[in-house]
Amino acid sequence: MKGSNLGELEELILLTVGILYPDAYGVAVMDEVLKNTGRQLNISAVHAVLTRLEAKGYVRSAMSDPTSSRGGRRKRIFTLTAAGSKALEEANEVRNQLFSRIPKVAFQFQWV
Amino acid sequence: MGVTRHPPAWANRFLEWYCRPDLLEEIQGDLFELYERAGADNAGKARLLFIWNVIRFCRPRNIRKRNPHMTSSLLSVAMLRSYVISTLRNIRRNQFQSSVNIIGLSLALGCGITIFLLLDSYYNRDRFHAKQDRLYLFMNDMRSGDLVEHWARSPYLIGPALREAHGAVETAVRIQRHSFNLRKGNVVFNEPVWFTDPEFFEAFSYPVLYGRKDALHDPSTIALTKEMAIKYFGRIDVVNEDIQIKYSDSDKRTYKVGVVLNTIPDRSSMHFGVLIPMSEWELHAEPNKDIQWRTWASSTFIVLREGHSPGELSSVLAQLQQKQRAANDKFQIESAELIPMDEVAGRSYDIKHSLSWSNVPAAMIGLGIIAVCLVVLACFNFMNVAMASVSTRLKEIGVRKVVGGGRWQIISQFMIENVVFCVLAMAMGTALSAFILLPGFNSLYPIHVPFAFSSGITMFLFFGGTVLLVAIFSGAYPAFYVSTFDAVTIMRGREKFGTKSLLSKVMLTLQFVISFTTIVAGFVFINSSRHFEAKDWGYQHHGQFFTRIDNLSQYRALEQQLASNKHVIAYAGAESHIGFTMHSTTVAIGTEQLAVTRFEVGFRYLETMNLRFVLGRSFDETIASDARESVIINEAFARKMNWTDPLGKWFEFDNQKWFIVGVTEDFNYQEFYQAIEPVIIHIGRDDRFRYIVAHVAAGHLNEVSDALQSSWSKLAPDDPYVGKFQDDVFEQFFSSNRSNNKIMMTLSIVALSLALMGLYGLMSYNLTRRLREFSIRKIFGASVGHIIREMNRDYIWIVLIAFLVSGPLGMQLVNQMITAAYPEHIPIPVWPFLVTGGLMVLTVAVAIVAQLGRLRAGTAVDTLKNE
Repeated sequence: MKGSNLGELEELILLTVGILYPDAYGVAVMDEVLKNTGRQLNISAVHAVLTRLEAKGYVRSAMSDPTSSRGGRRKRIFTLTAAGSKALEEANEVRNQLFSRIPKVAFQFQWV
Repeated sequence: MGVTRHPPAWANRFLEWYCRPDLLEEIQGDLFELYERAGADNAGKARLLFIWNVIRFCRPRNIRKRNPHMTSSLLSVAMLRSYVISTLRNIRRNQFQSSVNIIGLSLALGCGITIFLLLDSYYNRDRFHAKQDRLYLFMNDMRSGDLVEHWARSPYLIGPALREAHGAVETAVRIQRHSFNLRKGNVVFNEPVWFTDPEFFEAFSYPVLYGRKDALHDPSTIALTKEMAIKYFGRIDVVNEDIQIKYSDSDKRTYKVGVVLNTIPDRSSMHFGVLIPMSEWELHAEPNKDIQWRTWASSTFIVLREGHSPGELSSVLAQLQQKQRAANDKFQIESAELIPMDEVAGRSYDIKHSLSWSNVPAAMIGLGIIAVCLVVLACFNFMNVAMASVSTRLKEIGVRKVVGGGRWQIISQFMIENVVFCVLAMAMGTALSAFILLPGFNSLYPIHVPFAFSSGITMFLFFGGTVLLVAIFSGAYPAFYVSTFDAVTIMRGREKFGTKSLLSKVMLTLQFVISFTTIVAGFVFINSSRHFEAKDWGYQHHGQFFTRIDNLSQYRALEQQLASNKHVIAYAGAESHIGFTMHSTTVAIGTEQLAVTRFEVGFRYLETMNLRFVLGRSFDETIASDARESVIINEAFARKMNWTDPLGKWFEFDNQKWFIVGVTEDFNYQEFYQAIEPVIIHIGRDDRFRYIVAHVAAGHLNEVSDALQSSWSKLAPDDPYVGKFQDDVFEQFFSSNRSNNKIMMTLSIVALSLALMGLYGLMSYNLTRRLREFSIRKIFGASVGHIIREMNRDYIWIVLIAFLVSGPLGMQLVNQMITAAYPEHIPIPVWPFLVTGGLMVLTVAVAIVAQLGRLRAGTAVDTLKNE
């Protein structure tokens, strides 16, 4: 298993799972990512990331009740675990810290 | 929202097949959801998206793991064993039919293996040289007059010049092919010899038995092959022995043997017996004692340094080409190319003067096609008989299904039976090829094809691939077909199958089409070979013989002897002799250059050879100008120039004008693979004569030529007698032609036997199936004729249709092959079709007669009693 680091896509999807609570499953996550970032992911990629996150312990999953759509098949609903939200917070913190250390000049220089 | 349209079923089934069961539901659910959503706008796009997603989901972690504790039905060793056992039992039960089947298949496979070995060794020659990947033949596109040809002959100076001019050239090895008289004690032969640069053994890897590979650096040493050593010395280790070569009467040189080579490998396209250092050629054999850019070498081989490609030489080549063009105005290099050594043999049919032997590709392709046809035919045979044989095994299939055998289990059982059959047939075919067919082939031709593949991989791929392909091709359809039967229908005895279905009729027709096509093709080919046997050579060649001579005194002596012999009708001397030697040159007609073949002959030569005149006259000794400036051309010359009246016209050649005094009918001066090109014949001085030709009265040919031969040993004790009947000049062509005939005959017979076996097997099964019906008919008074009609109604039609299709098809095939191989059009008579038709009727008749025994009156009762 890869370390407990969060990749960029993993972080994005982990956030989306949090946002969609309690209805986060494959297709919904894919749609939400498209809506928020404009990135068109393939459904298989979403599944791959979700299983990876579950293996790292950041999300847990359970099968939903069957619905009439999807040919009566159940969905796998993902929810954030405590470790998951902690990882998100940490990632956010690290980024903010690093962000605040960029000298102002760099920003000004960019605006010129 | 309900599912209105379904996603592609196969993609869905594929997903269910590969997907891990615990992940299937969510993945399938998501895919269906996406499909439904996209399907609302565009159904087609949704289907594509679904397929695409199924493929995208096919990643390692989604793929179901094989459970090691559950054995697949196909791979179970125990099952496999029992399948093989039941196959062998089946073979034993139907001994006769099974052996017919296996023999048919092994016959075809034997032919296939043999032809494959032949092609494999033919196209993989010259790969044994250590530097094979950087060894090249220097090939020129040579322009002479209006002709541009590929030539292996190259400027003598170009090899060394290339080595000097470009660093990428490691060595350049030239070869001059000649023939001289070799003598050791009393053993004298006129022997083909190769003069070559001392670096010969650095470029080529011919195996050395005795001596040092650098021996040729010493101009007084030569190399011999083992066969030559035995021929001249009677033993093999002859290093440091002396051997004499006669360059001319006044120039005889004695050499030491420096190297003895092992037999030239079968995989070499070039064959030689004697190697002499090139410096000796310059000193003794070069005719003008003056080497220039217009001097030729028979071949030049180039070895490049590692990591260099022939393309790097192009600019240097262009410069050298200029030198050659400046030096030779008759033959000019248009462009030059370095051909990799492993391609030389395969291309040599198209390269003039090539030292490699080669065959026309049409013959090779033809053989390949026939081999494939035979194997396919055997497969069809196998398939049709397998379909028919199912009839006797319906109950077995039904029982298997009833006790829970799955479709795949039945398919795999039948497939394994086929594989066992094929392996058996393959083993027999291999033995057939190794012990009968290949030795037979080798006895027909001067080449020797070993029973070996060019590489282990080739062998593995060939055998593995053939067994699998044949098994799948011939067994898949019956296996699948059988597995679809419904157990209940079988048990009720209602299953209909066999020759009733359209597909099996089509397959049966195909089988006969292939077999008759092969037979017709074989006969048409045989006919065209016969055509050459009977062909008019353009002159009357029975009753002539000729002898090689070396000088004028020999000519005078023989002339005297012939003049005094009352059986000699005519005789003449010649510098070049029709069918044996000739010269190529170009002549200038106004501004036009024309490539021609030149013969330089004595007076009365044309009369002695019985050449027929279309126009004008022959040479006349009493006309003074005839020896100087008269020339006779052939019809091809006149045709090429569009001359209706060529007499009196003139052209320039050898810096003088030549006037045409006669036109001969076209005559064959080389093997019949070559078209007849423009020819000029003119008078040469008698001190240039190399041949003496005599026309002898019928019945005295042997007597006169023997007398000449016996006086030869007194006349020229140093020289071997080289004499031949004119009838035999194309002997090589005719003997290979006859060999081709035998090969085609064999293949036709194999095709015919396959057809017969197939038909017989089929009828026999059909009869088994309907034995009860026929017995009842018989008992109620049906005549034998009636039953035969009943039995064969279906087949007769199939055979007829097959014949109508295969006749023109076979003719077309062979026609194309012949047009590719021979320059002239050969008329195709009717007899191949009649004979094939006759054979076909005979085949059916034999198959029927063989079955009749089972329908005798007494047996009908027995049959019914035993049912």
